[in-house]
Amino acid sequence: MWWWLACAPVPGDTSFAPSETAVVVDTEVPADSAPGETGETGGSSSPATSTRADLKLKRWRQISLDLQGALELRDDQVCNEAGLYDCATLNVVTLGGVSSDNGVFEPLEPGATAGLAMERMVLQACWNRFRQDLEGPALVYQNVAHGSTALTEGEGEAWLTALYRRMLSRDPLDEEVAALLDLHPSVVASGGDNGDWEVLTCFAVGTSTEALTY
Amino acid sequence: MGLGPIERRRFLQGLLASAGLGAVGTAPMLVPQARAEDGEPRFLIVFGCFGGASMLDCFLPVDTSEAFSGSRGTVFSHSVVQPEGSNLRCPYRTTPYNFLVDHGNESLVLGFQASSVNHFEAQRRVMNGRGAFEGRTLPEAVAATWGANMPLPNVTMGRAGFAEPGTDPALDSRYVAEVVTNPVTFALSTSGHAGVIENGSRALQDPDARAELVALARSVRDEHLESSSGFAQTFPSSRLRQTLLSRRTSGEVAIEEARLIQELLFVPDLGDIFPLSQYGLAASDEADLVLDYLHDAWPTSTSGIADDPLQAQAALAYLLIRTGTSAAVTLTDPGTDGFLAFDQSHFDHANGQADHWDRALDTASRLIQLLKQAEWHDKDGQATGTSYWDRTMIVFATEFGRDKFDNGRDATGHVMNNGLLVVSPMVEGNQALGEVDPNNGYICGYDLETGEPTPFDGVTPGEDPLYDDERLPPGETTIYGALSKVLGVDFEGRETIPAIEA
Repeated sequence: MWWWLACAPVPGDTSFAPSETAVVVDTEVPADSAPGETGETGGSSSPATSTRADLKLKRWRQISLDLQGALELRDDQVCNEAGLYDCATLNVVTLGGVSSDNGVFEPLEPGATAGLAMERMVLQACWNRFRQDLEGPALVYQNVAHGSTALTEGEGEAWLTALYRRMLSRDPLDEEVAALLDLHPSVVASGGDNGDWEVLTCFAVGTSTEALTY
Repeated sequence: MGLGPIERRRFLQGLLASAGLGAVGTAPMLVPQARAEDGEPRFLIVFGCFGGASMLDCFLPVDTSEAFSGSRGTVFSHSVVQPEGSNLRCPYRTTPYNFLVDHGNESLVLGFQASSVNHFEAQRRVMNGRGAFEGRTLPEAVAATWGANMPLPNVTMGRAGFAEPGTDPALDSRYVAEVVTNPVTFALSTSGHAGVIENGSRALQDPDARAELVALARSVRDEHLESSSGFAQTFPSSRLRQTLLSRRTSGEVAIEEARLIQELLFVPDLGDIFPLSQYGLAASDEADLVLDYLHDAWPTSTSGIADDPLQAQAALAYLLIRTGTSAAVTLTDPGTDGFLAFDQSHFDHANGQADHWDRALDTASRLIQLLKQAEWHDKDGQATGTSYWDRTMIVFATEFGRDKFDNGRDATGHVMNNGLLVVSPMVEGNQALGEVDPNNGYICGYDLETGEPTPFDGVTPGEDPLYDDERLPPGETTIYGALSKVLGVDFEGRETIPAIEA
């Protein structure tokens, strides 16, 4: 039993209440159920396959609002190219928006650079939250010693659970936790530490098709 | 009245003294030695002249001494000059004159009869030849023919109908134009990680380490998260999702591997305005050269908008072609007012046409000179002694013409009769197909084989030819077919104009 939510939760909201735009694929789950109460966490039940599969790509405003909510960022803190130019504005058409200056009055199909533009937004948003949390008080990156390269499974799972709840409004599956924990030694081998790993997991989850479509 | 001999001489002397283009740039120009008939790419640059760029105000002007006057007013006319050796003439202004001197031998004017006076519809039709090739726009057709190995085969900085995709459902989506809203910063959207984070001591703040780390994260995402999640199992057949996933392993990889984030960046570190080095970014090696020719392509404020947005478009167009990124690039003059461009003619025809023709011709001339100095290497990497310009065509696409008569208000509406300017070493230049009738301002048709004009003999001075007059010039479909042939684009039922083939 699964909920697929179109929007991330509002800052500080750790409940699983679906937003008004939530798409219900299968049967209901109590709106305020805590993780684990429904027996979903780490579960392996097979969800139904959608016959319509009519997914749509989130546009710049939805992506930005989702990131603002998930990472507790202000609008102007999500992504700025060269620290100055709002990413969503620069890539407004690429990210599904319209531009009267360009005479584009209806959204176009996602262009060749749409995926890259979305990655830039998400990576910078994840980084911007991390940088602010380093300066404190930490609002999102709370469970892990950022400067260390040692990571216990419990610390990693706690972070990933919090991350999934923020980004996708659900708990991670066992397979997802395992895959992202497996990323950690690779990150360390490449010169990174726990903080880098945390940001990269944020990036990976935030740029998944689950996060970018509805 | 036309210019007298002394006035003409003074005018020409003044032009020689003031000609700005001769002074720009320092790179040597390659001498054209070969036509692009070697099976290697040909390039198309469309200058979208928004609003109706009237050929009567460019290279098919009526001389003031010949213009008919009557109850409807006087046919729009100019003091006309004609460079020595040129078969084309132009209004008495520096920019068009210089353009003819520099590029007249490669300039072709095609009499043209539009089929709509609605801006957006007419823009669509001039781009897709009124559906000549399954609805593909000419840039799409060129991209599909020559751009298979290019990371972004078709890029548009146009707007409205000049930026719209065609309607051929069979066209591979990678040949549909990538829309660029700001040429200055477009390069920044060609990488998912480069330049995203300011430099610093953490691994993610090191550009090289970040590239490696992001690759690791992408691998986990694409190989595990995208397949194990319930979402993936619920929507395995989503076309959108399949497209996004597919692009991650093909198109996006090619774009990043081409290092377009540097190759297409023509603006250097501008400190507080564009602090590139702080983010581990550097401009193209050709940035200085580009800016020698296109001085105003930089932003000088934190708006991020170039001082001259059309020059910025030209700068990006040059780099897109020069780096083998694109086969087709569309620009659109945003207008001195940011929108109307040639459509300013509704309230100020003379200045609207003069300002925007000058602007388009000047920018095109600078772009041509850039392409001329860039040597073309064959597929084996061997220097050919020819330039990128030798295999490029610039089409000044516009919707329609403007009213032919000046009724004293200097305000004109839309008229279907006009001419299109095409500049390329691949066409038979230094000629106009069709000639303007000074009695009504209409441009006549021509024999498609020989180019001989079909003048409006017998039409009463002051009256327009009828819409079904067979002597009117060809429409969008024929023009599209003719240009397609020159560009090496083949399709069934193509109409041609042999008279333009070099």
